Amino acid sequence: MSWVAHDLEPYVLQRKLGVGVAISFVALVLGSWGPDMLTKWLVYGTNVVGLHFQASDPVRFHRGWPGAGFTHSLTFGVVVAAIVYATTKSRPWALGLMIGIWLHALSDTGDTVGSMLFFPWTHHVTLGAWAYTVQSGRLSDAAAYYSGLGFVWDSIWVVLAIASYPILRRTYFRERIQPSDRFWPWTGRWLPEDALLALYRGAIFFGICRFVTWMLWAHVLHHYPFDPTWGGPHWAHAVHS
Amino acid sequence: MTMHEATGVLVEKRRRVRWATLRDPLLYGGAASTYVAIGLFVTWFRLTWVVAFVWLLLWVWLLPAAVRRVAR
Repeated sequence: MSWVAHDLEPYVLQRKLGVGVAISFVALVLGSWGPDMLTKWLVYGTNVVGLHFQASDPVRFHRGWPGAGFTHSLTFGVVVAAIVYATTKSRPWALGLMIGIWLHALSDTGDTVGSMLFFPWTHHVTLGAWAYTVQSGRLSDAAAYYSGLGFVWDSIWVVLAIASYPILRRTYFRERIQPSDRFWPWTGRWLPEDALLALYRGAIFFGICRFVTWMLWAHVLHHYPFDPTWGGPHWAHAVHS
Repeated sequence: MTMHEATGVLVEKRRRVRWATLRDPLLYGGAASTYVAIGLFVTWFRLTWVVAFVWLLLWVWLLPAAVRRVAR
């Protein structure tokens, strides 16, 4: 599982693909968040009006089958894109969602469980670089992720996203982002440009801020030991596919 | 226009240019530093993107708009 990478990948990709290919940036971000938005609330558990909802087997629900693991596959990206294109005829949105979901599924092959990239083939593709520990709960999971190679992976994305700063400029937003997506003129009916710009920059704000916050929380406030070895941190109980 | 008035216009113009350059770094920096400071101690604050987006909108849109209204 990757954390901040999912917030920042769209900016890096926009920098690379933004020339010549019309992709909805909003769809790219939603695609990149989508697989976890659909599953994480049940993986870690959620309280709704005093009732607690949680998957009985969080690991299988998140990445396996039977479960919602198919959301972390390249196939899911294609299916979502096909449905969106068939219903809206919007190529930028279909492409954005598909590429976003692909990025998410590919990033998540870095942990010890990996993802079923070619679902319905249920084989998990995994690099096993950092420990998958969602079953231990959100805070323990964060501590493990930001102590193993996960923090290196996120650091790379933070650097790449900061290096993509030209696409964060107001002029770039006006000239490249707004014209390629009907979302912005529609939202612009209620919000001024400063607010639209904040929405556009929101995911990178969230990503970099939470990277800093989790790192400080894990290593300054709580002193979890760093273990950036392959498959680590080995002090955490990792699940393997 | 007198010399005194021309100088005043120039100073005002320079102030506007300086504010336009510093505006985004100051507002986004303020939003980021306060978000991290609160998020360190309040778990729910750092968990969801919704809170981060609302916090950012508050800092870079609503706060300047409120200041402008008060200053008018």
